[in-house]
Amino acid sequence: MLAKLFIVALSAIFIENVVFVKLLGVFPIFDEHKRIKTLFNMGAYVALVMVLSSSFMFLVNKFLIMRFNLTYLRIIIFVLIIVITMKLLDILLMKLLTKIHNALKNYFPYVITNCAVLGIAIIIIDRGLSFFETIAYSFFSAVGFTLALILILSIKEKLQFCSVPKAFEGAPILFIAIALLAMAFMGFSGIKFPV
Amino acid sequence: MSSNNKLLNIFREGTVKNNPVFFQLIGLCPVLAITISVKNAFVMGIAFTLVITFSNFIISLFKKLISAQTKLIIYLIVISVFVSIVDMLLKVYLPTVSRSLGVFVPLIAVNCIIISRLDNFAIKKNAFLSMVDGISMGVGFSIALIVVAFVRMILGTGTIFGYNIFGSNYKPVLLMLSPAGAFFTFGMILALIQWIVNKKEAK
Repeated sequence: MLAKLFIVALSAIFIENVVFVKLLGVFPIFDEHKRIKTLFNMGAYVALVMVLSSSFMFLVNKFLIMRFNLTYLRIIIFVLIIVITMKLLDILLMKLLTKIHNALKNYFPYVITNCAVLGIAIIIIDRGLSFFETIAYSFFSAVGFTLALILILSIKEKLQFCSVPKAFEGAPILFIAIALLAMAFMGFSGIKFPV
Repeated sequence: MSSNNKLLNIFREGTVKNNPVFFQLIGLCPVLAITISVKNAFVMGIAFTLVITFSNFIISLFKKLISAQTKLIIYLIVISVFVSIVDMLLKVYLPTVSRSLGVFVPLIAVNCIIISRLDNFAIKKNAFLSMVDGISMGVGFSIALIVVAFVRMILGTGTIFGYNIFGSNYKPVLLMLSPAGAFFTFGMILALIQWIVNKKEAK
């Protein structure tokens, strides 16, 4: 069990990193007012949404879509599940943890239009993972997402002190830095596990 | 005459002046991920254009019935209906392309370009203008996809539509087909655009 958890964690965080390898959910880095501290909040929120929505999707897929052969409604149902999960979380947090809710309120639109949540859920379901693996994989994907955002943000902060050619200022140099990071993450793709 | 100008303005705004990918930097996931071949990029662009045009049209038809609290859910439902249709059509008529696009066709449903256009344009303007806006945004997005795919394909395989451009001695840069190559190409294209814009402003 632990060994399996370790394998899932390693592959979700590093070998198949959401941002650098699967290229999902790249854009929140361009928001200006981001600090590393607030990124942890956002990461925790993304993890919560990802785990909840992909486990809901797993259950709905198994007991509703597969049983009644509703594959053609899949996309609509999945999108609805994400929206409903987020609304429920919104209400729960607002009633129970008002302070945290206020801190997280700004991230709702980011998370909902982030490809990572829906993309990870669809990838998990297409691979036919078990329920335990679904939860572990979605959680560690969110960890990998947060790791990637932290890496990119710290590079972005350092880039402010560099003098780059005028044409490369801002987004272009950041993208090239991300390319170098992605190249580093390609090194993990050689790791293979005996299945 | 003036209405013609207005249409042209909307079209220019979406395709060139305010290109969603190159100038607003939104909706980047498909631009980076599926641009391994020009064919994929072309099909993806068409699918995207269809979805954004029809959802713009539907939302602007029903704009009076949509309240502020429920609008996000309604947007997402309308978009995902059209995405489902496009997904099914692709699976039937272009099964190989659909397989290589994979998860990125369903992901059009949560694309930020569409949601931002619905929220900023379609909910305020009439149905015809919204359709024109949808087409212009779709064409702008497709241009971005095809440009990125073109660069990556030429460098990554050395061929374009079966023609060997660099001669048979050329060793393809396989890195360009990997995710790192996607980021690199996109950064370079952005730099080129910034250079051109800077030059124009200096004049």
